[in-house]
Parts: sequence; C-alpha cells; structure tokens
Amino acid sequence: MNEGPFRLDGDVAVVTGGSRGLGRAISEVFAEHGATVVIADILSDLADQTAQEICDSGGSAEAMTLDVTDEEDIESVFNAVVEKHGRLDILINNAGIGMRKPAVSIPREDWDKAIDVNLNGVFFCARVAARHMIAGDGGRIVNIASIMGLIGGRYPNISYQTAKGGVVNMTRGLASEWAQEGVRVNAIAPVYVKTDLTAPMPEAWIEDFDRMAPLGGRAEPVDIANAALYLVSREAGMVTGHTLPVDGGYMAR
Amino acid sequence: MTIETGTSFRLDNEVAVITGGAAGLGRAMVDVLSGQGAHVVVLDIDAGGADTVASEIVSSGGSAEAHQLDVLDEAAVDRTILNIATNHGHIDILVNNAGISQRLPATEMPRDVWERVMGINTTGVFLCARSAARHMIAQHTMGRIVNIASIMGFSGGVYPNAAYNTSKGAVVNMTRALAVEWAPHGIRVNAVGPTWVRTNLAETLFANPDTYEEIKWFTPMGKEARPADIAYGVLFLAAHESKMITGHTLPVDGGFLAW
Repeated sequence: MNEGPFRLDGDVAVVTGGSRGLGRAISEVFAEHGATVVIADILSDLADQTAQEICDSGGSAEAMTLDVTDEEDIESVFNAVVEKHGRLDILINNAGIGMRKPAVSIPREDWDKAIDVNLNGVFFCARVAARHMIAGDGGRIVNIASIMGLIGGRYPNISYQTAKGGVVNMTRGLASEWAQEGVRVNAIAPVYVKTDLTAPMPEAWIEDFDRMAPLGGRAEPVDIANAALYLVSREAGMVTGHTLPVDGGYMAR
Repeated sequence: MTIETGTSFRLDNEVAVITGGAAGLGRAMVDVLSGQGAHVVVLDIDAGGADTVASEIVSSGGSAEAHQLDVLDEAAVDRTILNIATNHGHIDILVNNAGISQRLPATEMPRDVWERVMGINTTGVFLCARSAARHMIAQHTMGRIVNIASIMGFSGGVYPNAAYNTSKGAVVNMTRALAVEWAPHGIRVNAVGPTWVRTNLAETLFANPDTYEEIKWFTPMGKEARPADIAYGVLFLAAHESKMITGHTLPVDGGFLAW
C-alpha cells in the first residue's frame, strides 16, 4: 500500500487503451494509489486480462470494450461507468495508433484513421466524460500527446504529428473552456517508449531519439504513468492546459 | 496491494538544499520535501527565519539544518555548498527558490534596481546551480536541480514588471541549457513556473482590489495558487519518478498560459 501524497482513493478513472503499453502502466500506478480503474479498450480480451491481474494484486479494476471512434460506444461506456460507480473523476485519453507513412504517399484512408483515433477520439471521449464530471464533483483529464505534437521529428509521420499537435492545442482549449467547471485538462508528450505501438520502428530511428535527447531517448511506460499520476492528483490542483514532456530533455535541445 | 510500480515519491536519505527557504514558497517546499523523508537544508538571507524553520521541522520529527546565505555572494555560495557536501557526503537536490520582484515601469527603472533583480533571480540561480553541480558530478549523485521560474518567464505580464519578467525568461532557458550540459552526469535540471501565489512577495498585489481582480480575470481557474501547489510541483520534479524529465519548466498557473 502506497502512503503519502498523490493518492487517488475514492476516484474512478477511465483509461482508454488501458490493456497494454502506456495505458496498462497508467492503470497499474493509479490502482496502486487507490483509484478504481476502468480499462476501456477495443481489445476486449486483453482488457479483461489486465483488469483481472490488477484485481489479483489487490487493486480495483474492471474492463469495458470501447472503440474511441464510435460515439455511441463512448456514450454507453461512460454512462455505464457513472451508473455503476456513481461518479467519474479521471479520464486518461491514451488510446492511439501509429501511422508512419510519408506525406506524399499516405493513402487517404490511413490519414483519416490516424486522425480519427488520435485526434477525434480524444475529443469525443473528453466531452462525454466532461459532461459527467461537470454534473458531478469536477474531474481531471490527461491526454497522451507526443513530442511529435510539439516538433516535426526525424522520420515521416505526418498524420500522427498532425493529430498530436491538435491534441496539444485541444488540451489548452478544453482547459480554458472547463476551468470554471472544475475540470482540469492536461497532456503528456512522451518521447519514444518501447511498446507494441512502437515495435515496428527501426533501431536507427530510436538511436536518433537517443542523440536528440540529452538523457537518452527511451522512456519506460512507468515514466509516463508517474507523470499522469502527478497531473491527475489533487496536489496538481492548479495545473491545467499544460503539455508535460516526458522526453529525456529532447525539447530542451 | 502487491502491485509494485516503484512509484512512491519518497526522498529518504537524500539531502535537499532550498534557497529562500525561510518563508513563502520556500517554506512550503521545506515542509513537502521533509515530509517525503529528505534532510532539508534551509538557506536564506534571513538567518533567524531559516533557523526557526529548521527548528520547527526538527521538532515535528523531520531532519533539517539552516545556514545564512546571500545568493549574490559567490564565495559564500561556494563555501556553503561545499560545507553541506562535505558534511553529508552528497547533495541530491537543489531548489533555486530565492528571488525578488521590483515592479517598476521600464522607463523609470534605475540601473541598480534592474541589476539587483537580474543578480538575485538569474545570476544567483546560476551560482548556486554551478556550485551544487560540481559536487553532484564529483559525488555521482544523479542530482536534481529545480529552479523557480515564473509564468512571467513566458509572458509579458499584465502590469509593468520588465526586470522580473526578463530575469525569469532567462531562468527558463538557463534550465534548458544546464539540462543539456549536465545530462551526461545524470543531473536533471527543471523549473516550476508559478502563477501568482499568496506570499509576502506578492502581498501588495493582493491588497490592491483592482490588481487582484485583474489577476483573477487573466487566469482561467480564476484564482491564485497556494504555496503548497508550487511545492508539490517541485516534489514531482525532484523525485526519481520524473527521471525522464529534464530541461522543462512546469507551469503551475491555473491555466494562465493556456489562454
């Protein structure tokens, strides 16, 4: 049992894409700090398994199937969460896909899919969650952006960069719009993290991250999860509209 | 609970040096870092105030000591930091919190006032960081330095305050430069950019109803911060849980920079 600051006891947190990678680390850290975690993922079986493992370790977690590109699906998942738990305190917009294709040749359907999941999905989850938060005790939203939302990067990735840049300014916009409603909205901009999403990346690209980032360009999922914990905690009660890089210093160079 | 993510934000057995630790933001940082298990070294130009804070920490079960320090006195900075490093064998955390504000219109700003603000807010930060980093490098402590910048390091502000805004902008980019330079030694350098906080430094602002209304109007959350809000930002950046964050200035600003 973790004592001390940054506790989330009594909080209900929805983590999209929570079954693996960054989402799983976030779910684990939040559960360890006392939150009830709803793992909302399009990968139903893996979400069930992750939730079960957190419960087996003494945490509180459950799984729900969610496709963040489906508005009706989003409505029904958040309604179900609030119906069951009576509240929704935290949303982590973590679900995302990679689409590393050159601008001159990326097919329209791939562009649309990347924007749909990485940008539109974040908005629709955020606004449905915020309706419940505003009607309740307020809430905290953290969007998983990317350093690719802040800079161009060194390999072709235009749809992802466009979507993540949109998430960075969506974070400012929603933070401004909901500040008086008690909903804080922040984002995290990770550097490269070794996950299933980044598994196809060639080693040479990862070495470029190492050279750009003074501390080295390889973060672990728990690094992102710890930043998310800070941002959703009551101890960060005056932090809103910010995108926090977890980047080994990439942005400082 | 048997989930073991390693996320605790504990600072046990670490030596944390806080400049300007006798009052205001610095006092809150002393409380928070001490509460996480750090041995806290309270440095302040106000020797009596620093002693009082250290005594209070010790009486409530924490570990602390106090020394007088003028961050503009280069020899005193080096001597004080050397003594701390020698006595404890390591310096793990430095919080560059000491700072002043002289709110005058730029056209009426005397040169000596300008230089005093730059001296304490910018050069003082550099002198303390440089001195601490020498020991952190020699002692391989994977040190962490947290500078207290300001939202006014990113913004022109809402009333005449050019000297302060300039000095804090310099701290924001000094933070990036030192982060890059010292990363090979495992030292992380970050900053916190507070909005207005109710402290003695800002007392005259809050006392003026027009200014206070303006502060609230310019801030999406419509309120000022408490010293603890800033102190917890410092804790996050000083803790091992932020081990992949360096060169960054974290605004604790109620959304001021977002709109």
